[in-house]
Amino acid sequence: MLKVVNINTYYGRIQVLKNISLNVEKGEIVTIIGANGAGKSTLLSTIAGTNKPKSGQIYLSTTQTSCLSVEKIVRAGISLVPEHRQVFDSLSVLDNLRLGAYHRYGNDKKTIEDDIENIMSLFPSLKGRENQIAGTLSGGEQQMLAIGRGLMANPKVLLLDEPSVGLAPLVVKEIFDILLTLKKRGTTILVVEQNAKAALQVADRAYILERGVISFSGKAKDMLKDTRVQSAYLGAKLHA
Amino acid sequence: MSLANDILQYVLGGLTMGGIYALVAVGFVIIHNVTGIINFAQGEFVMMGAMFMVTLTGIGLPAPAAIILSVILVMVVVGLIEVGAIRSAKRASPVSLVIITIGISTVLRGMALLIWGTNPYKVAPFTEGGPIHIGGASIVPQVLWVIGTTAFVLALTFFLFEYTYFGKALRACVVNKYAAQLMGISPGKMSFFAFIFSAALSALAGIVFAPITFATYDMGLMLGLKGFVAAVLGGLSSTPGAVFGGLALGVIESLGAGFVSSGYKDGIAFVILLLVLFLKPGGLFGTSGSKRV
Ligand SMILES: Nc1ncnc2c1ncn2[C@@H]1O[C@H](COP(=O)(O)OP(=O)(O)O)[C@@H](O)[C@H]1O
Ligand SMILES: [Mg+2]
Repeated sequence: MLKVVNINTYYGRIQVLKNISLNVEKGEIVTIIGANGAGKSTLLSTIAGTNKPKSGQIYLSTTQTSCLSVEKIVRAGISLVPEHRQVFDSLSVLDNLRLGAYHRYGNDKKTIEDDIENIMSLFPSLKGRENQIAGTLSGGEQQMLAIGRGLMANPKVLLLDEPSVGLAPLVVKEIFDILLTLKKRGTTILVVEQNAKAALQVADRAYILERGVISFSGKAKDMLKDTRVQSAYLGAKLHA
Repeated sequence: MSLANDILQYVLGGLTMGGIYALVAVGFVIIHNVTGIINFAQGEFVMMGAMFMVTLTGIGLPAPAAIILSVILVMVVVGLIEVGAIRSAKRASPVSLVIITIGISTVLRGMALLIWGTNPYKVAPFTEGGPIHIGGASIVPQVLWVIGTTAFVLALTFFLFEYTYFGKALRACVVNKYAAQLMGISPGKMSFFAFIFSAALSALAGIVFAPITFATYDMGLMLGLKGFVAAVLGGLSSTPGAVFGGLALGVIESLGAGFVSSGYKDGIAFVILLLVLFLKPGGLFGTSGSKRV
């Protein structure tokens, strides 16, 4: 479904992503684990098109997206839920969700209101808050809104950048449970995390990103047992 | 003439000018909010509106047609400028873009000088008739056009931003450009829209103002600066603030000119600008950080 081939991304002269290749199959949850500064956000923004790779290709099914503009990539079916949620904080919950459907607003105005209903049933904590200003929601609710807004684009692949950051363990669990529900409904998900434990528990497969290089990849289940992963990413979390 | 009548007369005059300043100031705010640019060519958009009006009524077009055509012409010119000069320099820093707008204003003023010369022009008022008396004050009917247009346009702007999907998308771009882009909202398209919408506001200001002043090729200089002062007074990123700033500036100027000396009229705006920048750099309402369209 999503295929990244030999991506190299730079900020000016500094190379942040080095020969990254990965793939996400239809209906999978794939996670990328990495420490702060490893290049996780850069990788997602390169896939979403806000950063352009210097070389390499990105394919969504058979479409090469790496040469498209961000707007066209959204229309092609890639939706990024950005780091730190970034909801439109002076707009209402409802407006945030409607704007998520911006690229298809002209065509399916009818189905959009039904889709909002669906999102609302997925996130019960947003129910009854349709007209609340997004900036006044709690961190967890904002994260749910951000995911809901991302889903409103009807993406073929949903990208999530550290959805657990700054949230209480219970809320983190709630959010990852929602990812599992989405998977059951057929959504394809690529989620980037520092919280390796939470991510590996829901993911099918995982990649480890270290200073811009994928050092390791495999089944999420195996990763949870792998001693190298445990000492580098799980041990630290357990003692934290 | 009693003091009360004088005050009423000055306030009415001040509100008229204030309406013009408010339109220009709202234009500043819309462009600033959407693109981060302070557009110092805003005054020239006003001048173009007035000058096209001069030419079009001069060749015998009826006022309504001339108004619409003038607005469209200004929007076309500004649209070309946005694509040609602003968008092609998108990688430039905001400061460079501001300097580019100063360049644009100089070019527009120069071209106006070539086309219309240095003569002041007079445009006929939209409706005939003598002064209207309100209490002890009297105003020319054109003043009602100015105030009515200002009110109508501001209401339209409010409606656009609060109640339409496109307006919401524009606000999304203002509150979080990065997230807006991720929704497929094109900042380039929004910037283009901000420029032509703001051009239409300024053109209208010039058009309704033309019959109560003399239109000259360099009228944009002072109007642009006054509009900027009004926008700063309102905090530079708030539309209601800009409207308030415009009306307040108009009234203060008018009272100052009436009771102190008309020689100080233009100076007052700059004293206010300096005071605001020194004492309340976030504008009178001091909403630092939170942008509003
Ligand atoms: N806009 C930027 N300009 C320059 N360097 C950046 C920029 N964004 C991130 N970086 C650098 O790129 C590296 C990877 O950052 P990032 O992708 O944000 O990592 P992560 O999301 O894994 O924490 C870091 O060293 C960071 O300092
Ligand atoms: Mg990051």
